[in-house]
Amino acid sequence: MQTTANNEEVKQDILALYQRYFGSMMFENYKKFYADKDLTTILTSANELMSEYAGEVKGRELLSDIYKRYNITQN
Amino acid sequence: MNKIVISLFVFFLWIVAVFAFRPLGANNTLFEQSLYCVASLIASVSGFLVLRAYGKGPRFRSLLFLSLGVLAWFFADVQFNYYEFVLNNLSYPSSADYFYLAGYILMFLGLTLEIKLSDISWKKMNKQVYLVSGLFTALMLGAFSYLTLFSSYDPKALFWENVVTIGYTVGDLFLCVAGFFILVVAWEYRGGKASGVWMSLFLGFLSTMVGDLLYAIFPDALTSHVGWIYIVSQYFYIFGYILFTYAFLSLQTVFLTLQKRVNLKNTT
Repeated sequence: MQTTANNEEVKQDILALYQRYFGSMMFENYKKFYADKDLTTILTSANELMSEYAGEVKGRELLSDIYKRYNITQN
Repeated sequence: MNKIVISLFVFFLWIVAVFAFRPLGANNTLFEQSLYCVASLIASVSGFLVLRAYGKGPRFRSLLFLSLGVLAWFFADVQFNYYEFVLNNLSYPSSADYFYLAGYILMFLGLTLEIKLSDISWKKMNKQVYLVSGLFTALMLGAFSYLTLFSSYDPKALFWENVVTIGYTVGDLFLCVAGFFILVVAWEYRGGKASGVWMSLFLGFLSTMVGDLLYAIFPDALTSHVGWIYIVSQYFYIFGYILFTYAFLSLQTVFLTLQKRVNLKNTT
């Protein structure tokens, strides 16, 4: 995974996505969990979570805006 | 999740037996209708459990509308039975009818908001999905329009009677249209846990609509509370509530499972 993005900004966008789909409880829990995590771990976790909820195709698509916004490429 | 399925299945089997074998004889109808109310109450409580698991967020309003919609139907069911069996004076329209109609409006609002928040990529959608969902919707709309729309207006009836009767028909037509979008969302989320939630909701509405269709075709059979048409229609209505319950509890389980998983990670 390659990016020059600011870890904190990507994290906030992913957390906003969680709040939208899973609500404030998830937002708070993951905010704590992601506090000391690197970007790769956060993105892997987000991929797994969104795929579990929305299916693999839709899960990726829901995250694609964030990937595009921060120019993140998957190896 | 299996516990939920088994519990709901046992509950439905019990209901099937109570309606079919009438163990309480003359008092059975009241018992049947009480079970009907219990089914709508369970569905409503399940909706609020989802809200509690979700907390605050953009979906709060849509989930609230859906929960309030089922709650309105529960209030309507209770009032309907209170007027009929306790007061022995069921007028038409009664306050129960207004609660039923409010339920339709709330459900439709909730579904519209939920669909809007589902981020459907309409342009990327498979044409076959459009075709199947569209055909289904057209079929249901056609059946409802043919069977109810043209017969719902009675020139001899009072103004409010016509308003309420047409309101039921319009409510079902709106749910038919919502059904199309629910199917599309279920397809879009295929492979994910949300897909099952949407399919259960869709089947729940379908079951309710079949009950309404039977009511529209055989109104006397349903109000007399006897005969197989009455029994089958009640099965459809109650099965609808059970499917709503399953959809809500599935969604709640998804939220809670994901929350617990990260809680465990936070503590280790």
